[in-house]
Order: sequence, then structure tokens, then C-alpha cells
Amino acid sequence: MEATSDYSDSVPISVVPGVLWPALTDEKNSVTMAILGQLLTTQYLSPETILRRQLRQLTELVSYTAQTVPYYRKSLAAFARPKRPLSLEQWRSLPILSRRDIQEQGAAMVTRRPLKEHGKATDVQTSGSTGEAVTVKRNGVTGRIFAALTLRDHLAHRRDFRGKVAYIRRLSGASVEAAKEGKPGQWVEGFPSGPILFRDVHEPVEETLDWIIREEPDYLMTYPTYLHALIRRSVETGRKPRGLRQIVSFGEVVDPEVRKDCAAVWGVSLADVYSTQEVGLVAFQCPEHDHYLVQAEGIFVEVLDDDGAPCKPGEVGRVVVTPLHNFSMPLIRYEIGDFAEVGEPCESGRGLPVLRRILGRSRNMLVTPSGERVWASLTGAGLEPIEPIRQFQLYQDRSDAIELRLVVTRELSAEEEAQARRAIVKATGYDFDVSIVYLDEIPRSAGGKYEDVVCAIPVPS
Amino acid sequence: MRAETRRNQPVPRSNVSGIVWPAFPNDRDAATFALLAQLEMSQWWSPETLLRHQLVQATGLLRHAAQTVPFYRDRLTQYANRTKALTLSEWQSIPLLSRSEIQDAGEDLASERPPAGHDGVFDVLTSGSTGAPVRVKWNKVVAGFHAAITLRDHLWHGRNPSKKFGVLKRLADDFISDRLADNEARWAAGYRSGPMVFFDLRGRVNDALDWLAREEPDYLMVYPTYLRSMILRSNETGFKPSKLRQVAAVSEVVDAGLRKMCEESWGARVIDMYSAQETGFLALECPDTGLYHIQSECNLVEVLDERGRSCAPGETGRIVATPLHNFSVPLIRYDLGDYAEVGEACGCGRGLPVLRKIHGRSRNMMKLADGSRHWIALTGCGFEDIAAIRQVQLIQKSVREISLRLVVSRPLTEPEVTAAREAVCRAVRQDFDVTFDYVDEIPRSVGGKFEDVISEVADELA
Repeated sequence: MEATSDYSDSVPISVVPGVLWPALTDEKNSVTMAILGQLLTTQYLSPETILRRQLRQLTELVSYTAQTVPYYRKSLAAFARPKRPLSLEQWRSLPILSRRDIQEQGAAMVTRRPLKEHGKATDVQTSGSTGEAVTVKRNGVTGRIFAALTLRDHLAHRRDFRGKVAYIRRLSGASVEAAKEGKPGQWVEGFPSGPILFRDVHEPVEETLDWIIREEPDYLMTYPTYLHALIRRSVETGRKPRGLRQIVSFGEVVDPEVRKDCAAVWGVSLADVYSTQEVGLVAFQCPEHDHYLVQAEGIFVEVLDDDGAPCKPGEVGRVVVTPLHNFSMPLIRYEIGDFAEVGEPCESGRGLPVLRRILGRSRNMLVTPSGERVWASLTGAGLEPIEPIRQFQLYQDRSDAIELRLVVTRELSAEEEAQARRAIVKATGYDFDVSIVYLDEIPRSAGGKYEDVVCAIPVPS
Repeated sequence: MRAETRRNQPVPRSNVSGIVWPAFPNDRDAATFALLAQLEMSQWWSPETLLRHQLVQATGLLRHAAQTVPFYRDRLTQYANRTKALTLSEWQSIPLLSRSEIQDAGEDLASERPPAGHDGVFDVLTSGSTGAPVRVKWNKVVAGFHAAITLRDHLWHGRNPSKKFGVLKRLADDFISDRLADNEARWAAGYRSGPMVFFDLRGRVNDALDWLAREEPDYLMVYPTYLRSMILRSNETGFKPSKLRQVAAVSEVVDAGLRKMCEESWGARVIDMYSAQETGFLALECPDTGLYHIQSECNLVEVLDERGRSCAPGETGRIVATPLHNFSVPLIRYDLGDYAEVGEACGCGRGLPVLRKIHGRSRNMMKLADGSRHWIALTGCGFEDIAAIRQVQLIQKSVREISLRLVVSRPLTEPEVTAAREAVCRAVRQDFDVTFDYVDEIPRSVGGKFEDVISEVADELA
């Protein structure tokens, strides 16, 4: 008989001796699994039921926010003690939050009455999709939701938890050391998990391809632009990684070309994740289609046209999100800075809203004078602490120089400019000649993409 | 298509303020829901994958039993240090454990060194209609799995936790005084649950119907024979429960006639389950097809023919179960004395193995003069057509004699006596000397179960 399972048969780690399956998990993982259990069925609810449940949760969030968050006290006053769940119409009357609002009012957006049972709040810093740095908070509750949604994605894509993962990104914190020492971590929380090897995305593409070929990972997780550079290098040298089962991409828009090349050159599929540091997971690629399934149990996603009206399937609009469970720093109707096309309901039977494509950030790689391609990441490089900076972009049209475009509240001091230049050297790993240009606004490219790194030097074919 | 997964499942009770959906349950409920999440996935695994995981779990149990349970020390000595999972054929070479062996072993079946975490041990007394009752031990691990399968049953059958659940059972005396009074009992752990109300089966059917009319539960749990009596009586009085949606049938065999009768008279669906005190849940009714799904995640269930080989779909054999997580009193390949027919893979897509029919106890199997045993069903033999008959029980006294015990509303007429005699012949398919025994009431066994066929000559199966 044919296997009937949609799910991998991975079993969580059991903490009771003798009991291996089904596992008796520890307290933390029991909560994750308890949420996962709900997510396995809620994804098949009708869109109407999902929306109704979202509005119930949003009403809790809005009520708490109105009562405890200074920034929202006035604008949400009418909803401080609602008698019944908010209607969609009421919801749509709430003001949109911009990235700049968070930059300027961030401190006033933190709750004055943190809930102990939501766990300790920690700061997350991000450049987001539009090069405008913000700091947000998350906590234990958002961590559990993130873990459960991630597990659902792994299970839906039938990933083998014992497989090996090569994780190439801009490293920070513990992963820097882990990468240096070549020390693997575990990539699936709460399950017996294969190793995850970290590698910094600033490492040269050539060497990274060699590393992948050497390590033979089952799964490769990285940014689409870096992935594309790896595949091109693979074509040039004729050397391919073996044993690769799937590629998971994140952080940028996936060019259809990249997807095609994954299949054509490496013979593997690509599953994209749409997430941001400040709001967590937004959408996962459907296991059966190229489109994205909004993670509606964790986040409320609206796609709005220029007039603020919801887009219909086939229309492209601004992505406005509300994480449902972040009571440390509620972000209500936050305009994330990406654009997306609304999709028709998914044929898989899932009732989760569909985004056909996401038009968000597209990072390009830069070129050094020797022709080497390097990956640039501006998050955490050191631009955020420079107070007047509101938005930034790196632009390159010559291989030895780079332009740092800034939107500022005032011109930088000489010291701040020097600081900014050092940040760029750090972000690119190369001593480029950096010139600073001040702009009123950094325009999006055609199609609504915002590119925080733009390389106008053509890729040699 | 998976109808079940699309069903609008209830939202658990959340224990974190501000969070209503998805719910964050408290620690105890989270443990149950963490199991339920695994069950949600494993039900769709292939039978091969399920068996692979079962054998891994069973091997650990076997090792533990060989090392720490006096009864098994010699019997399973070769597995005392076994770490690699047993193959199915190795598993099938392990001797069966009979009910009488459990009775004889007594405390020797209890582990001398239960592993950490397997505490909270309590005794469970099983009912036995003929022999001495069997005593086993449960602990909090076993109870945790039981709670998860109980929730699975509720979810499979789309029960709404906020509704009222009525339970008719033989209640212990302390239970009656403690629980009946406070009216605080809840039935759906982990949810905002509606109340659970009880009726003691020692009461009369008329009283049960009064109770039903007063409480108006949405769901009912009851023994099939008692349910039949209630429905027959309600048909006479014209009473019909107004809110009842489902009746969960426990402990006895449910036949198609009772299902139909309950639907027609009360408008409620009968949902069967197959469990035993000493093993926990063995099978639940499939929400999509009505067949029985073995609860493979907590019991390794085998259906064996007379020669101890696995039965193929369509074949009937005896049920042998190994509760996978009871490390207090490990029951390894326990021959329950029940019979079942193996089914083909279920059309619902679940990989949990299928029983098509469950026949009940071997003591309900009559022994014929040639030594063979036959399962006897009284339904459809003609007793239903004799209006005065309220309840029937067949007791086999010897290979020639049967006592027909009857509760009647009035003395039977001569044609009715003849019809009853013919009905017995149809049921047993052989000539017996039938004696009639009219009684006011047919007593239940210790655990409150009702046995419609009792063979006093049937011995334990080898």
C-alpha cells in the first residue's frame, strides 16, 4: 500500500525514560507541540473561520495595546475594552504604522505593563526591507509561535530532520563562533536533529561552493542572490554539490530565474520563506506550489492598494502586517515595506491566504576590483546607531567605488561619516572607496522592489 | 480528501493572558496536546512506518520487562540486553500472556524498578464476568496516553467540548458521594468543557430515562445492552431526548440493529470504541468509514489465527495486545480473549490498521460437541420479533444444554415459546436442549458489563 502520510515520521525528543514514541516532551517543547497540533488542522479551516479567529486574537491584542502602550493610547482608545470582537471594518479603520513611526516612536511603542507569562522580552535590530533600521522586541510567546510555524513548514515539506544543513547567511552572535570552529548546531528544536553548519555569506562564492561540495549537505539554506552566484559558479566550473535534497531561501525576493536554475543545474527544488526580523514569519512557500501561504495563525496580513483598500487576487499592493502575539511591542497594521500580489485560494485545500509573489527586498552582490563577487549585508553593520540616518542604500557602478545613499534628518558630522564608511567596509568585507550622497527619498525600482544594495555592473555571462 | 482535518476543531483553553488563538495550554494540558499533535501526524503514516516505530518502543518495554519484572525474568531473558529493535518475526516468537497467567502472577508482573517519570501508580481492577477479576497497575504515563486518545476520539467524532456529556456506568460508592454531589465534573480536558453528569447503572431503566429527560445531555456514554433497554422503554413511553447527538458505546459489542434503532428512535448516532481496562484503548471507530482503527500509537495489537499467525484481511482471529507504555505492569502479548475480523486498509487514508468487526470475549464463544468454538450473536435471530421479550441471555451449561434466560413483560404464549426456541437454534446453529429461565432482571458482571452469551464450558484458549 502506498504511504499515506503527508508528514515526515520524525519523532520529538522524549524526556521520560523508556518512552520513545510517541514522545513525552519537556515543558517547553510540549507547548510548541501543543501549538503545532493546532496548526496542523487550522491550516485547513475555511478562510472565513481563520479570519474570525484572527479577529478574536487581534481584539485581545488591540485591547491590551490601547491600555498599556503609550504610542497607541489615543489612537486605539475606542478599543481599550471592546464588548465583542472587532469587525473587519473596525479593524480597517485603525491607522497604518510606518517604519519611520517605529524609528521615531519606538520607545513609546513598548508596553508599560509587560506580562510575565509572555517571557522575557529581547531586542531585535533589523534593516528590514527598505534599509530603514528599526529595533523591535519579541518574547517567549512569539518564540513558541515561531518554533511551531517553522516545524509545520519543515513537516509540510517533508524535510528529514536527521539530514545535514548548510546555513549560509550573515552570521551574528553564537553562530559566528560556531562557523569559525566548524562546530555544528542542531537545526530542529525539540527533535533529534542532524547537524547545521554555519558559514558566513561574506565568504567568497568560489570557496563556499567548494565547501558545499565537500560537506554534502542535504539542505542548503541561504539568500537567493548568493544562491544564484553559487549556481553560476557551478555552471562555470562544472562542479556540483551531491546529495542535495532541497534549498530553502529567505531574506530576499526569489527571481524565477533562480528557481529555474536550481532545478536545471542542481536538480533540486527551492522552498522560499518570507519572513522579517521584526515581525517573524509572514509566509511559507506552499509544498505543492510556487505561491506563498500566509502564516495566518501567527500574523494578520493585509495587501492594500494605493487607497488603502484590500487587493483582490491578481492585484499588487503594499504588505501591511500585524503579528498576533507580540504583546511586548505590539505592531498594529505595520507597513513592512514590501509589495505582494494576492493569489487565488490554494488548491491544496488549505484555507490560509495566498500571496502569488512577493516583491520585496532584492539584495545584489557587489563586485571587487579583482572581479570577485561579494555579498553585502547592511543589517548590524553599524549604520543603525548613527542617529540621523533614516534610510540607506548602497549603489555601485564601478568596481573600485561605492556610493552610500542616505536619507537623514540632518547631515552627518565628520565623525558620523567616518563611522558610516567603516560600517560599509564591515558590511562588504572590502575596502571600497565610499562616497556619501544625501537624498530626500530612496526610490523603489520598477515593480515596487526596494533594493538596499544595487550593483549596476553587469554579471559576466 | 481528509474530511476530518478540515473539520472545525475546537480551540483548546489558553493559559496565557491575551492569547486566545492558537491557544497556549497549561503545562499539564500541553503534555496531552503535545501527544495529540504527534497522533495527528502518525495516524496518516503508512502501516509499515507505524509498525517500525511500534517495534522500537516495544523493544524498550521488553528489555525493561526482562530486567525488572520477576514474571518475565526467565521467559524473556534473551532480551534483557537487547537494544536493536526486534523484527516482527522475532516479536511473534514471544509467548502469549493469558488472563489466567496474569491472575496467577499477581505482584510478580509488577516492575521492581520502574524508570523515573513512570510514577503516580494506581491499581486498575478489570471486570470479569466469569472468573476472578484481573488487577493491573497504571501510572501517570499510561494515564497521559489515555487522555490523548480520549481527546482523539472526541475530535474524530466532532464533539463540541462546550456541550454536556452524560455517563451511565456502575459507579463506585465513594465516587457517588464525592463526585455526584458537586456537579463540577468536566469531560473535555484541555478545553473550556461543558459539564459531565453521571447515572449509576444500579438504577432502573425508568430512572435512567427520567435522568436523561432532566439532564438533557448532548452526548451519552453507555453499554449497548443498557442503551437498547432505554430505547425500547422510551419507545413505549413516547419519550425522546431532545438534545442528544451521539452515544458513545463502551465495553460490549455494538450491532447494526442497535445503531439503526438509536438513529430512528432518538436521532442520535452510536459511536463505538474498543478498549479494556488492562490495555487502555485498542481501537476507535473511524469518523469517515465506521470501521475500527487500531490505536497503534499506544497498543501493539495483533490478530492471530488458531496457529498463532497474523490474520489477513477478511479473517477472524483472537486479539493479542501489548500496551506500549505501561512500565509498571508490562503486559507483553496479552491474549485478551476477544476476537476480531481484520479489515482492508481504510478508505479514509489513515494508515492505522483496521478491524472490520470486533466479536467480544472468548467466553462468549460456545463450545460445540466436536470441540470447536463458535461466536454467537443473538441479533437477527428472531428474539427482537417476540414483543414480550425485554432482555435475553444465553448460558451454555454443557455441550448439549443451554439455559435461555429471559426478562419478559408478560408470560410468553405457546407460539412465542416455539419462536424463542427456534431463535436459539438459529443463533447457535446446532441442536441443544433449551431450558427457559424467567427472571426479573439479568444481573450485570462486577464491572457493570452485560454479557448476552456466557459459556460455562468454554475454557481459556491455549
